[in-house]
Amino acid sequence: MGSIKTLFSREYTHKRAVDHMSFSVDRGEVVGYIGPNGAGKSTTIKMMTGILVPTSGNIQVDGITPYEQRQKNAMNIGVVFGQRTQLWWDLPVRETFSILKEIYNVNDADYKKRMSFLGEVLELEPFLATPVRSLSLGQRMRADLAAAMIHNPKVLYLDEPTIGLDVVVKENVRQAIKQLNAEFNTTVILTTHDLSDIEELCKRIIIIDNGRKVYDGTLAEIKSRFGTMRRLELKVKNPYAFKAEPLRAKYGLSGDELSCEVVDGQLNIELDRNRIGIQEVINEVLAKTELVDMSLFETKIEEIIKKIYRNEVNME
Amino acid sequence: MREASLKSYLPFAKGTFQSLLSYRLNFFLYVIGELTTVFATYYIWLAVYKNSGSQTLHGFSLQDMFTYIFMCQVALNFVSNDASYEVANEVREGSIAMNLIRPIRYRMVILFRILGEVIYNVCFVGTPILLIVCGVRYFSHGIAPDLLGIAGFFLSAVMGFLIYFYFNFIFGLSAFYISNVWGMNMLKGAIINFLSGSMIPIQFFPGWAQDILAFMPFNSLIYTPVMIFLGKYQGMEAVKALLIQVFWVLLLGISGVLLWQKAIKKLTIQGG
Repeated sequence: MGSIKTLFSREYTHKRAVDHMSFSVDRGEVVGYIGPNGAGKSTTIKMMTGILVPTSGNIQVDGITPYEQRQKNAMNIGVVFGQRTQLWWDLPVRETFSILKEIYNVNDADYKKRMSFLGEVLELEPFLATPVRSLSLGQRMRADLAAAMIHNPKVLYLDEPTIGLDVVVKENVRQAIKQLNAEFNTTVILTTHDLSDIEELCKRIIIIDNGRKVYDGTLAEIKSRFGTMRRLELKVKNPYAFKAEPLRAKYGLSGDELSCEVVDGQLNIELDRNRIGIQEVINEVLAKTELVDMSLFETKIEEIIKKIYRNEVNME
Repeated sequence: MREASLKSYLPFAKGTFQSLLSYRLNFFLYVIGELTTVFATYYIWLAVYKNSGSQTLHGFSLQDMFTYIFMCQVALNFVSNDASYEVANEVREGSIAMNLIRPIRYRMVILFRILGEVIYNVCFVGTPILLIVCGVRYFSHGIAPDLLGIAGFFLSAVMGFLIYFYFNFIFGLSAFYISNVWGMNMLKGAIINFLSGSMIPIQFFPGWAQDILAFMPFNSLIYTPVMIFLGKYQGMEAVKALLIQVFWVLLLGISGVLLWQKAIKKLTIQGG
C-alpha cells in the first residue's frame, strides 16, 4: 500500500538550503566559495546560473536576473559541474565543440583563436577525436572546461572542477583556470573541497555553512588572524595525562586559544602563541608524563577552515 | 536578445541520427520484430475475414485491411517517440541542468533529438514499407498509387508526430510532480496503441466509443493519416480531419509551453 500511496502523494520536509546570503563579485575576480557538504554551495551556483528559482531575494549577474532571463544569461556564463559532464556522451570531443559553436553563434575567426588557445592550455589535441564516453576523468574535465569557455563567457562557474583528479592533473587544471582568468579577465566562482585549489587560485573566499555566509574576505586575512596559532605534536608515555582545562583556567583562555586531542596515541595541542607561551604548555606536559618525541607546526589552513565549519571559532 | 536559430538545434538531430547509424544490429532486430507483429496481425484479420463469410467488414475489404495494417506501421514510424521518457529521465537524474545552462530552448532540444530518430525510421523503415504496399496494390490488384493520398498521408503523419511529441512532452513534465513516471509511461503506451486505431480501425469500435474518441487527440495520431491514404477520407472530410489535427497541435503545443514555464519553477536537482 505504501508504494501506491507514494505514487500519488509524497511527504516533503522543507529545508532552507540558502538563507540570508548576500555578496557581490567584481569583474575578473576569482572567488572561492567553500563550505561543508550540504552547506548550500551548489544551490547558490544553480540559482546564479538560472537553473533554480529562489523563493525570495534577488540575483543579478551582469545586469541580468538569471532565472528570469535564463537564455540571455546563458550567453554570458560558462559552467562546469565536476560531477556531471556537459559533453555529448556518444560524440567525439571535436564534434561537441562544433555543436557549441553553433549554439553560441561563435564566428569562425573567434572560434579558431579560442580553440587554439584552449587546446594549448588544456592539452586537448591528443583526444579530440575520441568519443566522450572513452575519455579518462582528467581528459573529460579538461574537455568540459574548454566547452565552458568556447564562447568566452564573462563569468565561469566551476563546481568542484578538481574532484576525483590525481595530483598532476589537478595541477594542470588549476594552471589552466589561472591562465584563462589572466587571458580573458573572466570572473571565476569556484566551489571545492580541496583547499589547495583555493590557496593557489583565489584571493578571496566566501565560506557558507548551513545556508548562511560565515566568512567573506581574503585568505590572507584568515591566515594573519590565525597566524599565531601553533600545533604541537607530542609522543608521550601517557597521552591522556594532559588536560587543557587547567591551563585555560589559569591563563583565562578560550577553546580557540588552547585545545588538545589524542590521535593514534599521539597528543596534539593547538595553541595561540600570543596568549600562552609554548614553554608553559610543554612544562605542563612534562609535569604530567614522559616525553618521547615532539614536533611544532604552524596551523594549516585546512585546520582553520575545519574549525570555522565546526563553529569552533568566532568569525565576528 | 538573439534567439537561438533553428540551425543551432540541427546538431541534436544529426547526433541521434549518427548514433543510430552506429547501432546497425539493433536496427535489424527492431525491423524483424516489427514486421513479425505486422504479419501476425495481418493473418489474424485474414482468419477473421474468411470466417465472417462477407467481403467487407465495416466498409473495409480484406485488401483495405492489408493496406491499413501496413500503413499503420508506416505512420507509427512517423509518430512514435520517447519524449516523455527522455524528459522524465533528465528531470529525475538532474541532467536537465546541462541543457538549462545553455542559451537554447529545452523543448526544441528534445524535439530535434527525436527528429533525428524519426527521420532515420521514416527513411529506412517507413518509406520501404510504403513502396512495398503501393507495389502490392498495383501489381496484384491493379490499384494505381494515389499521389494526392500519399501527400495527404505525409502531411497528416507529420501533424500526428507533432501532436504525439507535445503530448509526450507534457507527460514527461509530470516527472516534476509524480515519482513513478515509468509505470505511467507503460500504461500510456498500451492505451494509445488501442485508441489511436493502430490495432483495430476506429470504425470497428461501437458508435458511442467513436463519439467519445472524436473529442480526443488519439485518432489524429495514426488513424487519420492512414484513412487519408486509403482514400476513405476524401475532399472536405480530409480537410476537416487535417484541421482537427492542427487544432490538437496548437492546443497541446501551447499547453506544453505553459506547463513548462510553471514546472521549471519547481525544479530541484539533487546533489552535484
